Parts: sequence; C-alpha cells; structure tokens
Amino acid sequence: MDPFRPLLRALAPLFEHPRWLRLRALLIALHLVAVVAVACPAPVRSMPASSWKRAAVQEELQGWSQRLATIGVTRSSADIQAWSMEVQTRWLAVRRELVWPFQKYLRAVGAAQGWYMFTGPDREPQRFVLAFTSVDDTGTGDDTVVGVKTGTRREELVFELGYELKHPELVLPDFLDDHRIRRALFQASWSKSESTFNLLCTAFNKRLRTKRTDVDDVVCRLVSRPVEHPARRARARSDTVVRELKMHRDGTTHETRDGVASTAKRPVRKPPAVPKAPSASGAAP
Amino acid sequence: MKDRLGRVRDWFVAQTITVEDGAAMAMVRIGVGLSLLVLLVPFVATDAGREIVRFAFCDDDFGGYRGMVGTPVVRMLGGPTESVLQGLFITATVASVFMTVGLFGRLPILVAAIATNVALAQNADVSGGGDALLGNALFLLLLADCTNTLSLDCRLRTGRFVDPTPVAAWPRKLALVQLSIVYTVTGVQKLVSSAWTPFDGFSALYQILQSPQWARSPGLVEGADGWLVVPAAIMSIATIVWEVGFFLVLIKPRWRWVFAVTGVAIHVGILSLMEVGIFSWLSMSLYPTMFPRQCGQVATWLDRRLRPPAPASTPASTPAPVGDPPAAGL
Repeated sequence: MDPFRPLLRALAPLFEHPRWLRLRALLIALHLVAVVAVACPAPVRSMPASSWKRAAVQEELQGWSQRLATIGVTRSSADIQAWSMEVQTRWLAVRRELVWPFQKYLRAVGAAQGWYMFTGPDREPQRFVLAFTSVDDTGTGDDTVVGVKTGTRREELVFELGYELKHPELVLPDFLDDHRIRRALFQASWSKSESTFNLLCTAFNKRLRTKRTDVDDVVCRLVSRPVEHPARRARARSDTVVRELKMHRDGTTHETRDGVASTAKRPVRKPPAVPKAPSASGAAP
Repeated sequence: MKDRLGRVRDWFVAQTITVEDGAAMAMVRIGVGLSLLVLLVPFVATDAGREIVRFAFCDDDFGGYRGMVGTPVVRMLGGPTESVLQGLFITATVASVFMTVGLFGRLPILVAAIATNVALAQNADVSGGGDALLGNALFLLLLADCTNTLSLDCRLRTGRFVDPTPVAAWPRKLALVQLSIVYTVTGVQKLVSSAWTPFDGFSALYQILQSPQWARSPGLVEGADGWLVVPAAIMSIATIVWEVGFFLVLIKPRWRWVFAVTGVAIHVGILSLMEVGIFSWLSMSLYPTMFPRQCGQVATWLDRRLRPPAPASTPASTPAPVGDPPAAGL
C-alpha cells in the first residue's frame, strides 16, 4: 500500500552507490549545520523601544546594575540598556547575514527553528477583559465589573482572561482556553503592533452584537497587576487599567490609555490586510 | 590535515550508513500522528474548535480578528475563508489517521505536513513552539522508513504487524539531534532572565504560573499563601538543569533514561498547569529516538503476543532486532 516503496526498490542500486552515500552524508551534514546555526540562541527580532520600558525589563536591568555594583563595576540600568540594545542590534545584523540561506531552506522544508519558551516571566502581565453595557432593567447591577454604573446602564463582565467567564453563551469556554486564542490576546498587550488590541476589540464587538441585541457599549480593557514575587510577597498589588476601548452602538469609539482619554469618538477603520510571514520561526509555546 | 579531514568524512559517512530496527521511528510516527489528532480533531469536530479556526485563521470578513491576504496556497484555493481552512484541516486530520495506523507509507505524512503548514502559517501571531516542532517532526518522518514496521502497511505486506528488517538509522539520529537542540537551546535562552538563576531565587515558575496567558489557573499561586514558593523553585531548578543539559543524551547514552523520565515528569507538569497546545505531546513523541534497541525489543515482544502460535516443528523465524548498543553514541 506504500506508493513510494516500488520506486525506492527500483532506485535501490543507485542508493547503494558509494558516491550517493557520500552525497547523502554531505546533505545530512548541511542540514545539521543549518539547524544548529538557525537554532543558535538569539532574539528572533529586535525588541521594540516600548518593550524596554516594561517593568519586567527595567527590573531585570536594575538587578544587573546592582549585581555589577557588588563586584565594583558601576553601571546604571540606563547604561546597561544602551549596551544591551547595541549588542542586540549588532548580533542580529551579523546573524541575519550568516543564517539567511539556512533559514530559507529550513522554512521551505517546514523545519523552522527558533526555540525560546518561557524565557522570562512577565512580571506585570496584562489581562484582557471583555465587558458590555446594557440597559439595566433589574436595577441591581449585580455583575458590575469595576463599579461603573452610568444612568440606567450597567456593565456586565463577559470574561477576564485566566480568571472568569461569565457569559459562556457569548464566548465558549474551550475557545477561551485554547492556547492560540490566549496567544492572540497576549499579543494585544505585548505586541509591537499595538493595533492588535483594537482588532480584537472590533472582532469581539461584532460577535457580541450578533449574539445579543441589547448590547449598548462593548468594552475591552487591558488590566495590569504585578505578579506575586516570592521575595516580595507582602507587597500590596493592585489592578491598573492600562488601556480601555469602548465601542458604541453607533460605531464610534472612545479610547483611554493609562487613565487618559487619548482618542475622541471616531469609527474604527479596517486596517489593510497584510500577508503574514511563514509560521513558527520560533515563538513562545 | 587532509588525512584528518578524510577520517572525519569517513566517520560521518559511516554514521549515516548504519541500519537498525525501524520500531523507534515507527513509534515516533504513531506518537506524532496521535498528537496531530489532538490538535486537529477539535478544529473540525467541535463548536469551539471551528470558532477558533474562524477567529484565528480566517480573514475578518469571514469571522477572523484581523485582515488576512492568505498564504499563496490558501489564495490559490480561494482565500482565507472558513471552508478553505476547514478543508485543509480535514485533509490533515484524515492524513493523520492514515499516518497513525501506517497506511500508504509516507504519503499521508507528506499530505499532513503540507496541509498543516499551509493552514497554520496563515497567522504567525497565534503560532508557537508546538507548530515549529510539528513541522520538524513531520519533515524527519518523511526522511525515515517509518511504516516499515508497526503499521497496517507492514501487516498487508508481510502478514504481521512487526517487520524486523533493518532500516537506515540516520533519520532517527537526526531526530534525536533535533530534540536535543530544541531543549538545550530553550534552556540556554532562559539564562538571560535572572528568574531562572539563583540571582532571583529560581522564581521563574512561581511567576509564570501567575500569567493569565499560559497558566491554567493563575489564581492557584495567589491562593496558595506562599507554600508553592519552594516547590516552584525546585521545579524551576529541575527544568533549567534538564533543558541545558539535554545535549548530554547525545554523548552519554546511559543517561538517557534519567533525561527521559525527568522529561515525562516535566511535560506532565506542563500539561496539568499550563495551556501550551500540543508541544508536550510532540516532544514526548520523539523520545523513542533515544531508545532504538529497547523499541525493537518492545516490537518483538508485541509481535510474539500478536502472532498466532507457530506449529511446534517450525523454528522461530524472528531475528534479533538490530540496534545501536548503548556505547555507540547516537
């Protein structure tokens, strides 16, 4: 039943020829060189400037500054950041020149490399929160998520990633638990393309309005809270709304960043479609 | 110098012409096939899975969260619509079934590799280490005569499920090198973060288990009132030592059991505490590459169990499995 077996049997004498055996060994060696070269530890792409400002990165830099001070080397975290950015840029430029032919070959055969999984914990992870407001005809407002209550409208939580799913009829539990959806929601907070957050909000806005007619505003939030660190367990931690997008029934939106309204009402425009790079050139799991 | 290069070349050529029992790569084939089914069956058979396909892989005009032009093959098939994507995933699912049972040789592996690569490449933002490992595993299986034994092909060809005819050993060795690279490089990359080192008290897993993106229950750590600090630190130490040292399986075959048992324990931990897709299943599917001789013995034992008892006058015809002795390196 193996369609290749007769072909391989017919070619068997050729495959036993010493020249073929040497050529095959050479090809295997080249594959190994390609895999090792491309898998060689490196950030897959350079970190955007905004990523360097994140608490986790700054804390890491400060830690190294203190460690260097203990051995008599005085370097501020800003110095270390500048040095790291320089090394990263140079190393990536050199690496790009060295590995591009191998990278093309490995992508072509579907054997992309790039293994960085849980490289460093996110010390201030941002949770994606989806809620909506509707007309409050009960007057109770039980499900109020952050105490927002305006007039007769009340805000109902749909889900808070990793914690609660209040409306499984709007967003299926297995959908929300899936690692690809979690990764998409993760991109909303960490991606260098900040539009991912808006894209996700637009998609959820469409979904909620299709499934429920009484939805007034759809609200997406990124809520940040430092993780509990073993050495700082007693430290108080509180939620901060980093970003909020309200999508009104009339198609207008209202965006707030770090508590400051950054965008007045405007319709959300569909960004141009961009072809994506081939998958899995390494990523978090 | 020329002599030395010649010796290295001869040694390497000799490494690529060895043969062994094909059971190890057959078991890898079964493991990868089952892992693929774990990934694909929900996509095609459940409401949530179909919703994920729509949301993550289709254009926003067809329920996706972003605009997508589509990969060239997807465009050729009609664009990033639900029917095209589902068609690809259904094709890959059928191919995975044939691959798992070992029917039609390497053809279903080729079909599964193309269909999954085309479909999953649709949105790299929702891709991860699991997809990369899947591509590698399918490529390596394509190189191996992995349906020679423990397959329906074998049953149809020889009347038995097990065929001890030796096959080329180099694809298995390549798969073992790939597995070592995956773990070792992952471990080395982790060392850039002080959370995986004594500088920060090996706090990495304690913090990662609070991440709403990956942890199944981010509230678990908060609710534990500190008693998870030490277990999480021990798990972090075990993980980093095991990952960074995994390349030793290439040099010290006797240590493979230790790395394999630790690996299974770590992956069971990942599966129960985190949501990372099929990465753990795929990784463990590659573990038989560490034990070619033992896999051959298991296949022989299975053959004896499955075969009807031979008449007393017929001598046993199953030759001993061929495999690398533990001291032979890879």
